[in-house]
Amino acid sequence: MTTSASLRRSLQIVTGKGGVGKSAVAAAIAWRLAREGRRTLLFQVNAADAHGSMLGVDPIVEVEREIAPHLWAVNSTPAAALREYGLLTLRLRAIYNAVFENRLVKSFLRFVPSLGELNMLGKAWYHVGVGRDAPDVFDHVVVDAPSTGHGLPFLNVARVVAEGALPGPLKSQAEAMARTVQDPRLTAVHVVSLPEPMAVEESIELLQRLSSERIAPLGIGVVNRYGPHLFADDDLGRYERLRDQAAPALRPVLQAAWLRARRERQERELRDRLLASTPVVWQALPDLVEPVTRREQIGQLGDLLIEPGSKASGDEPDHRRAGA
Amino acid sequence: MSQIIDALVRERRVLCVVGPGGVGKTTIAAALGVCAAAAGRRVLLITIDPARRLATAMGLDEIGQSEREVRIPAQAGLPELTLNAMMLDLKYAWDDMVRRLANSDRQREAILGNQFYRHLSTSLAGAQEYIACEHLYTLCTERSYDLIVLDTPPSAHAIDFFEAPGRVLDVLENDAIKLLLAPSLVAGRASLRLLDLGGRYVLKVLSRLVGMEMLHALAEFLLAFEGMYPHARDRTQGFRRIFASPTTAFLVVATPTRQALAEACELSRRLERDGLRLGALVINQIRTPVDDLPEPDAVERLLAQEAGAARAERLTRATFEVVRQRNHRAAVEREAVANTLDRLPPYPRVFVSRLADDVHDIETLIGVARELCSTSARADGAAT
Repeated sequence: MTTSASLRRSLQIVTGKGGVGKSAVAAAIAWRLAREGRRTLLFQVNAADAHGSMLGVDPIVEVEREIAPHLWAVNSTPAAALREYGLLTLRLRAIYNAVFENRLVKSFLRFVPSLGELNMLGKAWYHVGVGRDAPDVFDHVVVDAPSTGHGLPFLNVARVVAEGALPGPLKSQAEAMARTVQDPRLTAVHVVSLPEPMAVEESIELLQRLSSERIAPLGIGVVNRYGPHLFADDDLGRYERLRDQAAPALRPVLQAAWLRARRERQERELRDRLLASTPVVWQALPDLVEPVTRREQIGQLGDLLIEPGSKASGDEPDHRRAGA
Repeated sequence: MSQIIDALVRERRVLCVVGPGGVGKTTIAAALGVCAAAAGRRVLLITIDPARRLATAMGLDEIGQSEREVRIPAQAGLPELTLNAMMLDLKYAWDDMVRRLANSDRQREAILGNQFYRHLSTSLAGAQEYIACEHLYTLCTERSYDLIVLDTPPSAHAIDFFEAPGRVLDVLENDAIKLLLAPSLVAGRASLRLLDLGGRYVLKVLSRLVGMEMLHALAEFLLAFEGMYPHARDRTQGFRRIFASPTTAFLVVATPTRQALAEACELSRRLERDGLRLGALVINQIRTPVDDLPEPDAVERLLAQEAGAARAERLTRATFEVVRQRNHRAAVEREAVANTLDRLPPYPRVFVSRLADDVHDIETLIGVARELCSTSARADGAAT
């Protein structure tokens, strides 16, 4: 079975601007990997529950829960991730409680730079479990990252803290995390986009920053809600001419078809622009119109992303190509 | 065209556009700017979106840090319009605030150079929202615009916009932190001598978690900020007054999807609870169904004229498939909207149809403005 190699890495982070369908793509990847029998953790970052309703299970909470065979899900929050980090670092619950339940400490910790993000990314990293073998280590951790503006700081937090923080336990922790996040054998960042002009420009910008600033190894690009296409480019002119000369009763349907043909042409142009301007392999996911359950949709999308006999990308994308 | 929006753009001084990400807040804000300009008001549009969506939407390559005049060329029935727009640069706005509020050059430099400050200004949760409010306050008090339209940051949760100022203020004037580090602040030195009663123990454990150097830097930061808290607090009260003013209205934007609608509901209730004025609930990008379907034969005959008989059959099927999908989606949306609105008090609501798939040119922007209000439909404009 061949598929884009990056969809097999241990730590997969799905990002993109708000409203493009990141959560669905993350769920689809995790769902598909779990169905192959891989122990997979679907990891939501401090979000209103999306995965629970998508997969038709109870809302995802702060503690990992098996929601389907081999598939676990969690919604990481800064507070819960900090608690786990504190417990791991301090070992003793009594010490933890004495310190962390202190009102002063609580408000102090909120102010330590990027501690929330660092702990949430740290939790994802912990479950990847590099060099560790324990029941809380997963074959794959699929992170549904915050949207673009918030996504980059999240992805970059380990490196920023590793490079910027004063020497201490946080810094060494962050250094270990940064090594994993930047390792192309372990990590991939998948960017989700839509075939719409603004979304495409933002994705290009995001991918340029991801690769020029070497934030993390690139995975695949996903053009969500792309097609299916009913018309060809030259149909657009046909509908335009007919619409103007048709009897009034026919006009609304011709107008609807014209709009659709125009959007389809634009979608193809935008896909071409993505292919030409970015160093990743793009996978299109169709806009699913039919009234299937969302769980079925997620399954369908997963099969489209990781499909037997799908085109292999094999090699890692070369970061230098982005600037070329 | 909505009389609700007409009244808002004519009468209010501040319109604040809130809502979840990806619902077209920036477009709605820009369209409100167009409506107000067409009503003859001197309007400023502020966007904070780091992805520069507004710039694209308005066909501008960049909008500067300061207000810039944007000319919208005359369009069918509309005269040339002028509005002012600015993109808020987060880092710049924070530095600017520190420059204005610092008591001395020394304090200013101490703050700008501190690593905690750099974190606070760029990545502390709520920093964007806070500085947007702060900047709105500056512009309201120092400029003479008739109307300011504020597009809000794409928060993970739309509700963050209302939580953020308090959170940032908490940090700026955090009594708990000051208490923890009090002796060093009082002594005017950044040494970490703690209060008695377990403080030393707490600090020891904290230093195991984040390191002693970090604690020192934090003490230095708080020291640098001393004396600025009252200003920050006054200004926060200032922009809270603006939000609560009867001349301010909030527009909650949502698309007709379940998730966006649920967030919009939560926001609307929150506004009501906080005593803020909900100007309108804007349901954006609504699909309109095609109700009267013609005979397929008639469509096929027409298509055959243009594309030939062979293609006409395929195109006819495609045409009706387009309409079927569109009507199906429209029905799903209608149901989601109805279910949501049923559960809400009768807030003023405005529906904006999905004109095209994306608003990235002035023509479409004007189209949205036309749906929003009647001012931009006037052939003569109100300015003259």
